Amino acid sequence: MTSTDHAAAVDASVLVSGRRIYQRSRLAALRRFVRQKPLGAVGGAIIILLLVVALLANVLAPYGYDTIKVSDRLLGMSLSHPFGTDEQGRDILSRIIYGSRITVFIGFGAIILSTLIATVIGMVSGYFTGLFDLLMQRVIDIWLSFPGLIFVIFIVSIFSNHTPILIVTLGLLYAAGASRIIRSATISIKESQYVESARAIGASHLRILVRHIFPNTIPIVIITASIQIGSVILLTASLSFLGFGPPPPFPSWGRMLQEARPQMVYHPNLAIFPGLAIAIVVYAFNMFGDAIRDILDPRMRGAR
Amino acid sequence: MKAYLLRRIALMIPTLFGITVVVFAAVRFLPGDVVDQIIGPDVTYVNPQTRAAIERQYGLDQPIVKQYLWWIQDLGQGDFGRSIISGRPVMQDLAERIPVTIELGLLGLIFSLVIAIPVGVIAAVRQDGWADQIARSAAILFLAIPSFWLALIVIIYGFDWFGWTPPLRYHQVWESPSANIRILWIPGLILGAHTAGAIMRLMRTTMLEVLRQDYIRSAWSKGLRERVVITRHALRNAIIPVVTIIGLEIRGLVGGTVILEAIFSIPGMGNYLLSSIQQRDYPVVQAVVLLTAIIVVISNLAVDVSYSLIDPRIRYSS
Repeated sequence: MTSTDHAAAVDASVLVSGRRIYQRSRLAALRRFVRQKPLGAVGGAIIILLLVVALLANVLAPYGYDTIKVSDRLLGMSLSHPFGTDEQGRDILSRIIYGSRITVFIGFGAIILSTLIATVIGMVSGYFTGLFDLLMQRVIDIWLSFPGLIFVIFIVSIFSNHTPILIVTLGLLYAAGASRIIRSATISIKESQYVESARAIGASHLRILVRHIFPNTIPIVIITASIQIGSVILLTASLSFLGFGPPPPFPSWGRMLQEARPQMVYHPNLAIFPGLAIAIVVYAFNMFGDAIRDILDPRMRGAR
Repeated sequence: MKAYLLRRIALMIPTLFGITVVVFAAVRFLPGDVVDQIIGPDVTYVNPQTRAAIERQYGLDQPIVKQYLWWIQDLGQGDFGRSIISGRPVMQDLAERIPVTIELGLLGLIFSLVIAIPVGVIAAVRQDGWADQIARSAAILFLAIPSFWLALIVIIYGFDWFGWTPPLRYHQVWESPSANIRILWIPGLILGAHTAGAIMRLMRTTMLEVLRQDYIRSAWSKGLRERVVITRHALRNAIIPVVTIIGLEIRGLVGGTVILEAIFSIPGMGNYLLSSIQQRDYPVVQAVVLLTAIIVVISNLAVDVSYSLIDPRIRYSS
């Protein structure tokens, strides 16, 4: 048995026993989370509900999202239409249920993309510093100078408002800010002794980045992603409201609010429910993100 | 201080350069070439001679770097080109819209500071008291409620609640300051709500941290009154991180003006941007995107300078 084999065997045994402890304590950890962070737990529950609704929208919605019934236009709240109907007789509850899909798809899509880009840029920039870092940071300065909403409107007006383009634009936009946070975390991790000893035994840069620095940035990455997602959803809703969101007929909450404007003074239910949906979902993500941050890194408390 | 300021301004130059490159390059991705945009979508065929003539007239037959440099030269002279739709110089149209947007943005910032700083301080001083509970819940709500929804609610119920209706005609601040404020205060308040939530939370947290410091205990034990301890000793230090977050919030405030201008029909840059995009009037779009980015860069400079005034450590470190 060579020494590397031996090390691998030790690694594996630690991993196995570690996983067993982890499994046993997972329920206890969840219980502790609910007790210590009730608001965060409420947020988490709402997020799970949102995911279930988005996944099962076609089962849960009482009507189709685009079922037009002119005789039923602008109905108030009733048992058959809990939130009423819009000016084309479409059921508002069903449209809100289907609208959750766009929220989830764009929100998570943009955040996953942004986190991937930000982690690579942040780690490489923080690890190598020097000229690459200098240039990269200037590029990020430029990126961070454009007001998010205006920049996305600009890009969407040039290319198109199809969902993949929205996700890429939002992902790039949020990656700039997140990469700064990951970069500064990398800079402090780089100075730690285990990185120094890894370098001393001749580990390559790639190995140090992947095996030593990356695992230690994970908490920061999770915190950043969970705090940004509420803001992504809010921005997406604003875009839809202004007419730059995903194209109709598939409903989005922001566009529902825009469509409500002509009638909303006499039919406030048209404007209230989609807005409430946005506010509740953003609230849930914010609360959940706060709780995650407090648990993973108490020092960052209050730092948004 | 002077050296710090100079260094800070020098750092702006590559950023401004990059912003112009991004804006210049992005428009080149438009479907069809620039000539198609100039003649508009209604004309389907242009003979090659006309096309070449238009290209020559606008310098489009020159290398792209040269075109960029010309564009920059024009920008330097305050020439943002002409609107394709109205044919008027973009700068002429923007001259009366820029102040409107800046005023709305400043109103939002002022409202958020005036609300958030005292409330954040009180919440921290009376930690876990009823004022703290209310302030924290309000901040969380402000952060989650979309501004455009709040605006719609105000339009629906505004008259019933506080006798406010959206104006039919806009009054510039130099025409009638009181009429202008009557129009803008509600949009300003709504714009500031989100920022207020963010600042309030941070103000409370940093204040709580500062209040646990030794020098605050010393201030108490000297027998100073609460007001003096809080404002002179605690607030001065707790406000430093808050200034940073103001810098981060400026982008959001500038973006938010677009939404509020659209909802309340305020004739600012945001409204101009939206109508120009609908008409595919790209010289205007280009100018507005560029100007909003420049506004953000300059505001960030202002925030950094005020930051160094409040916190002397910034000035002396490299």
